[in-house]
Amino acid sequence: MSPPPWEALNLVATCLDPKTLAIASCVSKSWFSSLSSDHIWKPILATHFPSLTTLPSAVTHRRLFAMGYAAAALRSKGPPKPTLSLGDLVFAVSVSTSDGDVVSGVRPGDGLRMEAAGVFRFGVGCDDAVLREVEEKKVRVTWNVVLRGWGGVFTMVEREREMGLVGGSEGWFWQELPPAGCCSGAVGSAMVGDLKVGMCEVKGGNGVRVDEVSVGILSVVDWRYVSVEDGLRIRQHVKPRFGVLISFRTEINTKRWWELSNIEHSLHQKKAFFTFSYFVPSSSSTFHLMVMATMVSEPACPTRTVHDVASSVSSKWHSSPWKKKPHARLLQCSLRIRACNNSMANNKDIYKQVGLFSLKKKIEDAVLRAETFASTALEMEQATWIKQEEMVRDFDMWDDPAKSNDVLVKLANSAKVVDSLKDMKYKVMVEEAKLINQLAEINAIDCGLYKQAYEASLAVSEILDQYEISKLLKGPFDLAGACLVIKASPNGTHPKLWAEQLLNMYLRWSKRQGYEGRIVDNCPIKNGGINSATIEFEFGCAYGYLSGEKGVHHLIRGSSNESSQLEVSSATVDVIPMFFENSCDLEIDSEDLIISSPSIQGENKRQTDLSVCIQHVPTGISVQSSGERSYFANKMKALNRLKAKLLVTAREQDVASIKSIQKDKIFNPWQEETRRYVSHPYKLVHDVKTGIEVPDLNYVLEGSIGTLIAAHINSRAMS
Amino acid sequence: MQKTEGEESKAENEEVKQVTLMTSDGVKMKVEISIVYEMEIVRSFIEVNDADHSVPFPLPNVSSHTLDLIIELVKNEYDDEFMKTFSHDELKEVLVAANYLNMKTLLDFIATAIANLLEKKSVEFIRNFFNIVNDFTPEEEAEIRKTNEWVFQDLDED
Repeated sequence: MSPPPWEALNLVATCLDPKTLAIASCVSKSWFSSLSSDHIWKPILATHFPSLTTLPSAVTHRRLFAMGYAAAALRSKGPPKPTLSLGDLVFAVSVSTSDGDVVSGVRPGDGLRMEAAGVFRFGVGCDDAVLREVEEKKVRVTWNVVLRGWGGVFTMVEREREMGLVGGSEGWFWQELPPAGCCSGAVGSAMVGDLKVGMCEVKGGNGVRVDEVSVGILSVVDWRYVSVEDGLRIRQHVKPRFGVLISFRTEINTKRWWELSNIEHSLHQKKAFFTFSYFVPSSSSTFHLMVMATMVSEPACPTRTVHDVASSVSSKWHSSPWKKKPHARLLQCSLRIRACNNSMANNKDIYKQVGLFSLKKKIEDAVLRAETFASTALEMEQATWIKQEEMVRDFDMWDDPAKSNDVLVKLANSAKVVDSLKDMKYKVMVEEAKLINQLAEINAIDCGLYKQAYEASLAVSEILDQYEISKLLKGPFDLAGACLVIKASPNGTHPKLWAEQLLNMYLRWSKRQGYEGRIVDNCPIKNGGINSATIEFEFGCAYGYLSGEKGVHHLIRGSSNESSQLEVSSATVDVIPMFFENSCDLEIDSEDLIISSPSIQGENKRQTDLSVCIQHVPTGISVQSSGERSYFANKMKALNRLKAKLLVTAREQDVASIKSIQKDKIFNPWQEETRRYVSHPYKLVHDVKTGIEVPDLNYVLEGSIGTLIAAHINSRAMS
Repeated sequence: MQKTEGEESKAENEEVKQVTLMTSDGVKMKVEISIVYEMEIVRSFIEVNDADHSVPFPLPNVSSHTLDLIIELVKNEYDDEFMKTFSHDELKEVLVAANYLNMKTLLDFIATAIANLLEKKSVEFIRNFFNIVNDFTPEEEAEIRKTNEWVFQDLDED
């Protein structure tokens, strides 16, 4: 039978309900065009959504109805099933007293004892630590919920107040949960995280122990515990706004180790997220800082911290000026790596201390980073390499030897970079991934295996860090070698000793980089210490790395004569680029120069005879060289340094020729503070230019200034 | 239902006026004038001509079976229960015939019935029902279905 005529169909169409009408419009082309027409849909729309009919809109009525329908469906539908299940959560509670006693418990969400069926209230068992019995005691409790797989950490309750530590006593703690992430946060969530600590007496002994901690979520509206499903929904919606986590505690040889992580959450699309970890062995006062971050682009939220030691450092962190800068990622990553290295060197037990979970997470992070980053970097580098090779082919090498040399050097560099990236990508990464797979499969806590994976991941991260940093070196002299001049402040003997420490720091740094820094000029004094010293770093990018070191370095320490005053020793560092092949072709009028042989306060008589000091009269810049074995060589060297310094100065003042250099604006290393090394009353290295702080003074003085250098390079690249 | 073939006594049917209709398959049927008056197309003809009702009125688009169904429906004052005994083909035939005969009430009734039948049915069901050829390309169909996504939930089995 042939299809019915159109008039009949139209009649049927006007009788159809909107849903069937929409389905019928999918039957064929002609049906679609006739059944989508406004004259069919208008009455339908007018019946269902009268308000939408009056909208002046270019959208068809069929479409309007669909939108109205969808909106209505959404409204009438109940909340969706929570995407989280209890099994996705790990509950961590801790109870600490002001004596430093700590009781904690960690339970997976599905292993919890539900106190009433269907209600979000659970009992979390704690370890059996015995607490001293007292009437009233300040107790601090935290309840954190950790997403399986370390997807996030939420602080449900973090409270401190007095409670009795006697058998049978109970303490209630509660705190309003942050509102769901969608709103400004000005209004509360009307949900309260609730925590009850019950104490019981220890059998036949002194003291009490924590019987059980029960935790739940209460609705303030009716003061009832919410259902499990609602609780999970809340968990889903409340972003980890501020979270402080005491994740795991393990006791090794009666020492207590802590890992504290602090996670700043993402506000809207801009991510602000960092983790600090402090390892605080109770036996010594040193601790290390681990930082991991994606990007910090907004003023961070107020951060709450668990422990005083943590809060002291983190508050400093928050006051530091660079927190608001975007792009902080590279810098912070490198911080993490260095710090880890250090802790590894200090203590082999680090794997146990950190907690295997977070270690695994860190390995995964490194792998992920390498996977996403290395391949694109490799592609890019290979592309430049190919381009350079083409250039070599097209270019007649014999015509311009200087240029061809330059091109060949660049070509070799690219080849080197490509090789290292390839090497990492195809060897280390594959092994890495395998190793971690194995770990996941056997699920065994094998420290040795973790150690291997962790070290491999560190190596990978380091390569990437170096690559990233080297990509940021774009300044005009950044690829040159460097000549670093340290001068002690003339007052007293301490600055001389300090200058020597600085000298050693830079020498060790270059050694860590795999290069040797050559001391060319050294003016030691009798009782130890130096007046001044010059080191030459004859490797590529040395100037790029070190140019941020220019300025005054202060050492702040307790006075030697037992008074409470602090003593400050100062030394300056100046860095001059050193050009390897083609010495700079700057012409200086010899009449502008005053060349002399000054008598340096050195011990070596012969050195004094040969040393050369050159002053450039128009600018007042003076340089000297005394390290070479002949007067002539010293003169040449001094001249080169002068030229380099003039070039840098011209560049700094942004003028085209050295003739336009303004004398009064010339950089004076004594006028710019670079870094403070505080050894008393606490240990801290504070980089004034970037605001970065590293808590381990000795670590820095041993030459680990990579993080500080990276920070400066980053800030240069940003500005 | 009355098969009145061969009977032609006009006098007998004085009280109940009848009109003879001839269906597409050549069957002559006598139908009460009240029913015929619902068929606009026949009514206008009769009113204009007011002639001999014995001359069969030809209905080339309506089969005798369909006409039987229509007469029965009208007689039963559009009984839903009776309609439910119809096959899909019968429904469509009645629809087409009602459209041709221009029977307003029947059209509304049958259209509603078909609409009810199609409710919550799939696109394929509607195609089969009306014997429509799908002239969309697969991509076009996917696109159209996507814009109408909201309707493709909880449909009935065909």
